[in-house]
Amino acid sequence: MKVSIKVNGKQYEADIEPRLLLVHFLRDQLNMTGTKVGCDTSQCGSCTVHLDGKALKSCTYLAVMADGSSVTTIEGLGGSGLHPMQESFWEKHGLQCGFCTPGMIMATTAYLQHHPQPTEEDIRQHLEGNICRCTGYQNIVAAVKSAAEKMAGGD
Amino acid sequence: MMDKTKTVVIGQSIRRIDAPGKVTGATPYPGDIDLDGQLWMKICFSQRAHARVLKVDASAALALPGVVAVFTSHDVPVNEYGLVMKDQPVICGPGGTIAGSDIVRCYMDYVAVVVAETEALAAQAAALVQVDYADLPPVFDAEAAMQPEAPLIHHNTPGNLLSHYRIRKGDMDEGWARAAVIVEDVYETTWQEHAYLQPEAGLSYIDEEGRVTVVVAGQWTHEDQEQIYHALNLPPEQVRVIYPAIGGAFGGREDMSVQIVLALAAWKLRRPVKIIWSRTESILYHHKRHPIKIRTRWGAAADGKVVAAEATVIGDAGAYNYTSNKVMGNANLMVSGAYEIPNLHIDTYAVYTNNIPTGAFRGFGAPQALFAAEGQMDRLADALGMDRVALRRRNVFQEGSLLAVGTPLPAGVSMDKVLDQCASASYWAQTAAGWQYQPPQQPADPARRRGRGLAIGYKNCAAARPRPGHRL
Repeated sequence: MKVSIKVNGKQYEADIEPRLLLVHFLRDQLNMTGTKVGCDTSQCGSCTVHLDGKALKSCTYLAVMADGSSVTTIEGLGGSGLHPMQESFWEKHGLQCGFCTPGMIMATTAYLQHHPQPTEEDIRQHLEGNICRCTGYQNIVAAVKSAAEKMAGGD
Repeated sequence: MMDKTKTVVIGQSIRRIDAPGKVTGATPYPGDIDLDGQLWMKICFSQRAHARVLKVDASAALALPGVVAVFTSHDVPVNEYGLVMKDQPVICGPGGTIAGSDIVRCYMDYVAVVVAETEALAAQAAALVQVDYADLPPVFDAEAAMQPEAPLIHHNTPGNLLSHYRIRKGDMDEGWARAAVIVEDVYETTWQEHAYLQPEAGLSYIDEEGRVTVVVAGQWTHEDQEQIYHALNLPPEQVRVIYPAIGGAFGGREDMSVQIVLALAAWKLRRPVKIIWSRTESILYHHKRHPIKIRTRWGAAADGKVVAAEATVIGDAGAYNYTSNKVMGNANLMVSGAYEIPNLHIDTYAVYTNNIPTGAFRGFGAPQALFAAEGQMDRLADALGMDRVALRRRNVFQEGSLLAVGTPLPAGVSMDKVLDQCASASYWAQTAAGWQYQPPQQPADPARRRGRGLAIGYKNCAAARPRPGHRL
C-alpha cells in the first residue's frame, strides 16, 4: 500500500505491506533506530513516538494507519540541539542502560504539552506505561520535573 | 595550598559520557546495527525436554528460495560450550565426537540454525526443519533428580549433582542444648526472569583482517570470545567480540545466547549474519534465577542469642551449569543470614534437572538464602516473644564478627546502625523497655491495610575471576 508519512518534518512516500508496524517502518525502512522494540506487546513503552503530537506506542500500530500523519521520533525531538527533556535526562542521570530512554523522553514530552506543571505524583502516574528495568525511576522522575521547570521558565 | 582532602571526582556529580547518545537515540544497541548484504538467522529450539536427537532433516527448509544454509550439529567443529564448564552442546544432534552432544536436555537447546536472505524467510524455513527424537525420561524436580533412580542428565555427573558445599562450624549438640526455642521451616523460591528491555540480538561478520567478529550484548567479553573460538576451533586472534550499548543484563547475559551460532554462520558463509530475538524468544531461551528449596532449623537462647542453625539448600540448576555452582556457593554463605551464629551445619547442592538452566541474577543466590534466614528470624522472635528488631540487633554482624566460614569482618561494619535507623523510620521505637513496634494508623478505606515487615540483606561483592587457591 502506498503511504505518505511525515517523519521529523520530512515527507516520506513509501509502498509498504499492510501488516508492517510503524516501529519497523521507522527502524527498518527509514533507519531511525532510536525508537526501540522491547516487549513486542505495548507494555514497556520503548517504542513510544509522537503521532500528530500525541504519544503512541509504535509497536502495535500499523504504519498504514499513520498515512497522512506527522510522526516525531527521538531523532527529531530536539531539532538541531537537545530538547530540555533530553538535557534533563542527561543532567539528572535519568538513564542507566538507556534502552527505555527514548520512549521515556517521548512519553514525557507529550505529557508536558498538556500538563506543564506536574507534581511528582502526576509524573509517576503518567509513567506507568513505560518500564525502566534497571529501576532508575527516581532519577527519571527528577529529570521530568527538572525539564518541566526549565520549560516553564522559557528555557 | 591545595586541600588534599578534596578531589575532583569524589563527591561530585559527574555527567555520564554515554548519555548524549542515549538521550538522542543515536547510540546503537546490537539490534540497531546493519551491514550491507547481511543475512538473517532463526534458531530451531528443542521440542523435547530430554531426548536423543536421531536425525535433523533440513531438506524442506533448504528447498525454499532465499534460504542460504541450515547448520546442525555436524557443522560445529567443537560442539560444547559454557561459561564455567563446557557442559552444553552448541547445537544438539548426531555425528559428534563429544559424548552426549546428541542429547537435548531442555526446551532451550538448539537443534538447528537457519540462515536466509530475510528475517521472515528464515522464520518460515525454521518451521520446516524436521527433527526425529528418541525420548528419554525427564526429571523436573531437583530433589527427585538427586534420587538414585533418577534419570542421568549428564553421563559424567552421578546423581545429577553439580556441586555440594558444606559448612561445619562449632558443635551442633552444644548449640541445640543451649537453645530455649527451636524453629524449623521449609522455604521455596521459584524461577525469575531478568526481562532486560533489550532482547537478545547480534550481528556477526568477517572483518577487514579476516577475523570473525560478533557484535552482541554480553557481560564477559573475553569469556564470550574464548567460548566462540573453542567451539569454532579457531586461534583466539581470529575471533573478536564487540559490545556496543547493552540494554540491561542483570546477570542474564553472563551466559551466552546467540554468540557462537552467529560466529559459526558468518565464518562458514563469509557474509554478515544478524539475529534479533522476540520478547517471547528472550523469555523462553535464556536462563533464570534459581528456584531454591531450603529446609532449615534455628535455635535461640532465652536472651535472644541465636545459638545454632542448620540448613539443607537445594538449587535447581536446570539442564546446564551456567553459573550454578557459583550461585549456590553464594547461597551457602548467605543462608545463615547477617548474623554471627556459633554453631552451623549447612549443606548446599546444585542439581541438574531438565528444566531451563538457571544462573546469575542480581544478588547471585543471596536473595533466596536471605529469604529463609529472615523468615527464621521472625519465627524465632515470635517464639521467644521478643521484638523482631531487638532479636536482630542482638545477633547482627559487628566489626570483627566471624562469617559462617570463619572469615572475620573488617572495620567499617555498620549493620547495627543501619538497622537502628531503618527501624526508627519504620514504625519502631526505642523505648525504656527496648525496641517496640508501633503499628501504623490504618487508612479509612477498609480495603487498604498498612503493615511493616523487616529484613536484613547482605551480600559479598567483587566476584573476581577465581584463581588457584582462591574460591568465589
